[in-house]
Amino acid sequence: MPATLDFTDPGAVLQSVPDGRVAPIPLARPELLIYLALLIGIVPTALLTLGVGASLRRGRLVLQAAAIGLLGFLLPLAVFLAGLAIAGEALHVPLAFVVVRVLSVGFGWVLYTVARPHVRGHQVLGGRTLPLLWVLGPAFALTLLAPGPVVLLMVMPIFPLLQGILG
Amino acid sequence: MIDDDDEEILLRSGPGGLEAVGPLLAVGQVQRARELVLTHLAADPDDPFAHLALSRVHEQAGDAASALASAEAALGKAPDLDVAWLQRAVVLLELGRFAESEDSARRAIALDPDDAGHHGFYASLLSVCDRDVEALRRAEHALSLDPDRPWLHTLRAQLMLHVPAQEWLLTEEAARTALRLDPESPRNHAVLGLVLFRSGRHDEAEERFRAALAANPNEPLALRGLSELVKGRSPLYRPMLWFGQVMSRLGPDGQLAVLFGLWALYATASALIPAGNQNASDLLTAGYLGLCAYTWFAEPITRALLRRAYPWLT
Repeated sequence: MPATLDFTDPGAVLQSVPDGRVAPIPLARPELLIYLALLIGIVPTALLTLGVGASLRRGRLVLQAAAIGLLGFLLPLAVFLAGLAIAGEALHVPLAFVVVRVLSVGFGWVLYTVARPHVRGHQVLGGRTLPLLWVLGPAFALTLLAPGPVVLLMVMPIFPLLQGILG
Repeated sequence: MIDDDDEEILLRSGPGGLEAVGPLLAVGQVQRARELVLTHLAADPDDPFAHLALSRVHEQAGDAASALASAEAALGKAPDLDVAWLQRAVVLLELGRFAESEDSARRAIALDPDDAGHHGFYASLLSVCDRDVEALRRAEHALSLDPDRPWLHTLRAQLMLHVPAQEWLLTEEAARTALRLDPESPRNHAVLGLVLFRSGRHDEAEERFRAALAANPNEPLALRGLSELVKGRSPLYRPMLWFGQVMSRLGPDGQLAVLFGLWALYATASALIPAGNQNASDLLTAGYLGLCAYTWFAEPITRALLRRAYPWLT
């Protein structure tokens, strides 16, 4: 007789998992979203997620991505205003940039969390995903080769407005 | 996924005449299997096992919608037929209807709670949906019900790669049964080694890891087990081995992503260094390049560290 283990049935756990739906195009793998948020900023990453939602015809994912993109757009403003309120004129601007990037990764993780069940459904139904390098490679090249102001605008599209506020 | 035992139940438990369907499907003779089942159904349209067999035929032919209809037709004839609920769950998973598949699998389990195959399928479903901890517990429960199913041992070993060691509940007996069923499997040796390691029998564990690595020098569970042994003996190596284990779990794609992420952090940190502070800048660059090198070469470095403790490791 085999040894039995104490087993407690946790009940149904998949009730909130969305049904699978296959997109007509290959999709970006969700774990990419975290890295992209770090590399190219949260707004372009949210736009990519929005595209994933649209190609899967998932209105909720589109709305979530749009909301996170909007929050990501406003994020630098919030960080700099908070920094000014705390440090005043002594605000260390490069440090504020670091905070923005770290928070962007957090937002990227949120995007990963909301997109993952949908992309998994796409994969279970035989949908294709893009190889990691095909997405990360160009993003990395862009970050490395694009002029500084372009990268800054990509990572913080609100920067021109911020410049106006900060003088 | 239905294992061979369940297929046997599906196709042989009903009235005679369907015995040939399983072997026909196994050799890809879908059309002949379909003709056989349809002939049987024409003679006895109320036979739930014939509907079930037809569902398997449709499933193998890649027609999941018809497979679902046939599974539901079988349930219409016999609502308490657990294997029909399971077949419905299998097809619903193929259709990407995860919550409904879970419902159906749970119905099958409620009707026959001691069937290891039902629990095994449910574990696979949970694993597909990233519920690895629950999946591992379910697979372990299935193995405690019936340790003689090799595919359940394989499933559990795969899940163990993704679940932290503190969540494992496997028994030594089950690990030994897996090894008895397939003594050549390096993974089975590694799993037994990990069980022995957790019960503090480090020398015996090392022997199992050695047997696993002799059969497959890259067996990930055995390397993980050896890393744990070395971490226990040399705390100095702990962070390096931990990093090596993480990199090995991530694979080449994940390692590349780590490199890109490190670069972004490096670029950000560089911006923080005051202009003219060359030493700090050089130190940061050296640290960044060192981490990049360690990411790329984590596996050979880990192997070299392990070889210091275990010279027999090739």
